[in-house]
Amino acid sequence: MVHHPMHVGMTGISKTYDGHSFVVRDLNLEITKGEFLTLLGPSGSGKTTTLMMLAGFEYPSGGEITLDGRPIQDKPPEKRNIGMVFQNYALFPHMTVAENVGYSLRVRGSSRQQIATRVGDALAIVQLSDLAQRKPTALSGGQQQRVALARALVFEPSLVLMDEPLGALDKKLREDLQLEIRRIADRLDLTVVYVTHDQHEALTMSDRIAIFNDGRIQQIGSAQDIYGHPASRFVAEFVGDNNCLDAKVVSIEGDLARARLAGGQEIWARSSVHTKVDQQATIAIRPESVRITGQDRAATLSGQVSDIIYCGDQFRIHVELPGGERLIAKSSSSLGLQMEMGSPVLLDWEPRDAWALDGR
Amino acid sequence: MNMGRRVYTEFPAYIRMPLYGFVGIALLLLMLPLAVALPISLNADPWFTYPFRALSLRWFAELFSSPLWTGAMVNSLVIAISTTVVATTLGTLAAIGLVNPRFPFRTAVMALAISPMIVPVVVLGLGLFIFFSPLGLNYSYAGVVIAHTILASPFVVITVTATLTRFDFNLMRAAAGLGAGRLTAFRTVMLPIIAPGVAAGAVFAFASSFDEVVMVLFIAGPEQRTLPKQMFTGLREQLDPTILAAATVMIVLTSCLMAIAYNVNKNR
Ligand SMILES: Nc1ncnc2c1ncn2[C@@H]1O[C@H](COP(=O)(O)OP(=O)(O)O)[C@@H](O)[C@H]1O
Ligand SMILES: [Mg+2]
Repeated sequence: MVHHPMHVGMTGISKTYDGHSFVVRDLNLEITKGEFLTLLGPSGSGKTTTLMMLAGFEYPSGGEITLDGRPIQDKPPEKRNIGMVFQNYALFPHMTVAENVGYSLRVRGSSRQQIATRVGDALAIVQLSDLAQRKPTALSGGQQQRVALARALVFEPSLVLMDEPLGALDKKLREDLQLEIRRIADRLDLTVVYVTHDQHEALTMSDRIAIFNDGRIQQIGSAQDIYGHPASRFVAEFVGDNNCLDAKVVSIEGDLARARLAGGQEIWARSSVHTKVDQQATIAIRPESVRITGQDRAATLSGQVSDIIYCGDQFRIHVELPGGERLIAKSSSSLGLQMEMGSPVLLDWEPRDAWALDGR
Repeated sequence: MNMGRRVYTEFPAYIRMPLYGFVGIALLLLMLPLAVALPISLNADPWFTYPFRALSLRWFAELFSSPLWTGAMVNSLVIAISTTVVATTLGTLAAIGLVNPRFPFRTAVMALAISPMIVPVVVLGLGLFIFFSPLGLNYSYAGVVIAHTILASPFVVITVTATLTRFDFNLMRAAAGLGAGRLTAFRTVMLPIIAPGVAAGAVFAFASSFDEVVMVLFIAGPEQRTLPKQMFTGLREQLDPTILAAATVMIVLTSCLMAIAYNVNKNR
């Protein structure tokens, strides 16, 4: 068997609806077979448009889309063999669950018996075998989404697209279904492009995450890459919590940069290719990487406690720095209980946990 | 809808009573002429006067046996059914096109599509008569069906458009993604869902053709004599209660169709 490392390819894709403003710009994306790729970004960043171009409901204004090496942008959606799950489910209200799931097989002219078997299998996978004869309106939101999933899988599509499929569900159900979708994708070795604006969902489910902003991919990589090595201030702020401090680079030593904050204190952070001495940079540091220390060791920063927020399993301590910036640190309950508003604290972190990013 | 009704019943009686009275009078004015005229179809004598000496079904018997009347009834049914098929097809297609926001000059085309409801039928009839003569469509079934389709299509456009505004077009995308071509998706997804609107439009189309007389006076020849035309000529030539028997039959038929369409819409 020939192995195609690249299953889906988008090369130089752009899209404009009105002829002058681009909602997707010069998008390059390679998806390997069996991969679970998530497009994560704020609302309006072009995620749905990208998915619609893959599905064939929108035509790219420029660039090329390939599936297994063949260009597909001139193929109508019904010829692409791509499964799609919509946010509002888009189940056919006049058909039963079984008829919904079997629709793709029926229009392909499969035999009755074949349809029954495969619909049965698909419903078993999403654990809905009991409800096969119900109408979609008689189902809960979570059940409807399972039907939509079964319907998108039953014809063994070469690619499955999901556009915020869990957006309308409550938190608990969403978390259950996230794991279930991922489990099904692994079991059936599906290639999935999943759209969400929920970073936790993206971090939980994905092999790779593409961060969208303003029609461009800002960064693409594994959850660990994106979370641990944000490439830009946008990514640092969008994925997880990050403290972003404006600073001026004073010196670079190896892969570490020393930068001065507005208040005059100097801090260490990992430097990147963009880091240049005497230029502005954004220093990003995750709250959980900030340590609150009692005594002045090699402490990097001093500040004043300005807020103590109880979050159940931990406290979030807001610290105001002399330059007026605010920094958030997470701390255990016991330490948090000892904190007092307005009291001075010392903060430090492993220099390699902080990142010097493009200044803006 | 419900909101409005609840607020309405909360009005004090001195406001509600006059309103009830007004509605009652309006309904009475609509019903009274029928209530006076239709029973005459049961008069045993060929007069249009009350009281009757005896009741009889002789005018209904006349209606269903005289070749003049049965021929007219067959013509009316043939023309109304043909009109319904053509107008429902065209009107549904037009509505599907016109609900698409990307349709060019959408409002103007929509206005044009429903304009036959506003333009006086006499004007349309005269215009069609002049337009049809070089085409040889006057005094033909095709001509009458075309003329009636023009009058009937707007009803379909309006009812189907109303249904389509509630239709989720994502369903068509879902169908396409599942492998259905446009026609298959239309037949298996859109049509079953908008069927009540299409059915209501078809009933209105049927009714509007079935009792239409002005176009028929212009376009139809003796061959295409319809029930309304027969009644119209009957009024001048041999006035007898058969006309009212025919009217009763027409009213019952269209009322039944309306009731069916109403129930189809209610039970969906
Ligand atoms: N059919 C359309 N016509 C015109 N503009 C559109 C259309 N669909 C989306 N847009 C615009 O394109 C931009 C990106 O939208 P979308 O791809 O839906 O973003 P996302 O899914 O990331 O929220 C938005 O500014 C949106 O208003
Ligand atoms: Mg979207």
